[in-house]
Amino acid sequence: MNALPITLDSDTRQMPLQPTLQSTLEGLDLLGIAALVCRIEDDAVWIAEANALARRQLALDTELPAADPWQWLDGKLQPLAADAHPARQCDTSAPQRWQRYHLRDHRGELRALRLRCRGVDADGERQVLLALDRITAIAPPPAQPRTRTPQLPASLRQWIGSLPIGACVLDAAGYLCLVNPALCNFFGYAACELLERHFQVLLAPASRELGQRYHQTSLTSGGQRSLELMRRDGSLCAMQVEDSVVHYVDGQPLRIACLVDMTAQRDQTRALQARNRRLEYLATRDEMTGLHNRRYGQQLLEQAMQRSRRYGEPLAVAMLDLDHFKAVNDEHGHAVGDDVLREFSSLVGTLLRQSDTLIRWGGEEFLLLLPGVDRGAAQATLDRILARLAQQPLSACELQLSFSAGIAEPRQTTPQALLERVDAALYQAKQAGRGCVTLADGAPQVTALNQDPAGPQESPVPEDSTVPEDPELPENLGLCANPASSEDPAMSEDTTTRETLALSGRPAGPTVAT
Amino acid sequence: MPGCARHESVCRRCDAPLPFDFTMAFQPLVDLERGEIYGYEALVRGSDGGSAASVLSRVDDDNLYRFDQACRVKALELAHRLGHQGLLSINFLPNAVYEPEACIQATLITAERLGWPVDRLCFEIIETEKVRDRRHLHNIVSAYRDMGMTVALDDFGSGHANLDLLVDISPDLLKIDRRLVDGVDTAPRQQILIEQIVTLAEKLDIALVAEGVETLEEARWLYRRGIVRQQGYWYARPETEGLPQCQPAQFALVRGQH
Repeated sequence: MNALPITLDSDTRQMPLQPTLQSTLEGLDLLGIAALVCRIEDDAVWIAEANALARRQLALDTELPAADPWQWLDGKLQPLAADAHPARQCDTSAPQRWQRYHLRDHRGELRALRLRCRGVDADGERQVLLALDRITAIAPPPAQPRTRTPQLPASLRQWIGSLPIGACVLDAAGYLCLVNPALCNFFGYAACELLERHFQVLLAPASRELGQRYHQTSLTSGGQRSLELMRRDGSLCAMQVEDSVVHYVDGQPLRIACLVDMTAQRDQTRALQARNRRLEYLATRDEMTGLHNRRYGQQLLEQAMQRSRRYGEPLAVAMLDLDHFKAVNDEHGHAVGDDVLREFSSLVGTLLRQSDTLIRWGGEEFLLLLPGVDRGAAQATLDRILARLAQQPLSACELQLSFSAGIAEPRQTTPQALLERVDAALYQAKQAGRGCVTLADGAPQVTALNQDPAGPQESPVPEDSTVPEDPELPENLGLCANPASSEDPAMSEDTTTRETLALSGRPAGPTVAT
Repeated sequence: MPGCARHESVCRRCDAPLPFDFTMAFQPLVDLERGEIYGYEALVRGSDGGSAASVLSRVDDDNLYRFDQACRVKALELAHRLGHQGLLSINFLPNAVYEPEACIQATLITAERLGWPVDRLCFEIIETEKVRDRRHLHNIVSAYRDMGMTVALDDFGSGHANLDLLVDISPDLLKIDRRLVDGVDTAPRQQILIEQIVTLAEKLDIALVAEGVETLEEARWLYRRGIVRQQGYWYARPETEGLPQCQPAQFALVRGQH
């Protein structure tokens, strides 16, 4: 009789599948069953192969084949004799029944499992296939073996049991010998779950080390301490622990600890601290921009001036005023105006050094303290900010804004006098056509914003500047008799007129204009 | 596959209730040589007495795994309740092999609960033409056999050429398709095919079962060609939630001892 013509897929032909041990191992892996192939030699059992699940569940990370790395124990945790290895017990090719075993690895980790073995032929050699199922890690026993529980006098039990606050008794090793109902209620345990257990079970993980140290080092005396403890449900609580050490039974020290829940108080304190921080923030900051406010800025200015004087360091103080900001508010609304102020503040903030301080002085005015910097460097800084602002439209309306700024150095003056000089310089900058920076004791500087891109202007300080170079002379000659009064609303109309005139090229202003 | 619902207890793919009810019918598998019923095949039926097709039409990709698992559990529970002691043959939806871990664990847990030895379980692989990943199937079948279960290839010799599966998965049993059996005593071409299958099975050391035996003549012809394990209406129809029996006289008739 001829055999049927058998046609095979090309795939199949390339990879003939035989019922090999390998496929059984992989199949058991797919079925969620760990499997090992053992080779039995006279003196040792070798692990020849393991499927991926066995490697994972038994934490087997060595290269195979390797000598059996485990200690085998029977279902009742009795260690097996060397010749009682389950692989040695297997003498049939049919799978045997599941049997319970335990394994201990070199780390001391213990696992319970059930096992079935079957003899197989691999490479002409007799081997044993072990199928391992229900592998469960067993938590190691506590490191310190429990000593005998001291017998506590009935009076002590009664007394502690009736306390309305949580109380417990610990032995010298830190195990709980007595817990009262108030403590059990608070932590959510039954008394039997806590007795004989180490007190660490009640501590939050973060405070375990501290608690252990405290317990070990203060066995001669009691004390008082705040610790973070953990309830059964994992919630943390701040407790005040007050305890005393007694020698009740055969001279063994016992610690009687009372626990008072301070969580509410702690939370209250924290809330209060948070509120105080908030108040401090509100007192020193401008809420809209997050910058220091004017009141605090004044302090900062004084401090900076004192420091400058004491250490002989230069200090440059600048006042920045956004140009035509009123028009922004009028045309786009105050929300856009606020956005502009916020974005402007953060933009300037990114362009300053850590040691520089930007203060929202009021409205669209910003005071800038630049310690360790002379006015020339300050001017360079502000020019850089102006140039950057020219490339950065602000707010959702993409408004292109500029600012005018005045700069002054302290030179033995009071903060008030210094601010007046800065204001005056700012006023000059406004008069010079805005978008520029003026030195209080020098001439206005034309900045990139107002320059003709075709030809940058040389020498922004003309010979015939009406602003005197001599710092000893009274400042603000000519342009504004009383710069402080520019804040007076009655004067603003007039100021605008003058600014307009300056823009139209009136020679009374700084000679450089667009 | 790893990450089964049973281990994560989130996906509910295996544990959620099926949106329909079903039950199982049992049909005897006879061994003519030993003159006895050696096992039963569990077949799906509607709980209202509907056909297998009426149930299977409601199985979709979403509930395939649950259904496959529920079939095994139900078959085992019913067979146990009915006091069956022999082999239990259960159909194995090959696409369920893509979630084999959940399925085997449910089967093992049920078998253990009922005290049913796993070596009295046989899985019949059907619709083999739908299995794309042969290697995967091969690994699972190897593992099933290692667990002590028997694996049968169902509907052998039907439309799709699944001869290559003989090479791929080396089953314990081949079930000859009813279309080859139907009227074989008078159909010379079918006879040639079956004779070839017998030779093949002998050489590959695979046992044969003839399905769909409906007449005495078919049974006799198959028995004379050495196919001693048979199944079909001639012996007994499937009975819902019952274990139908055969008359000893039937075995004697087939063996020609009358």
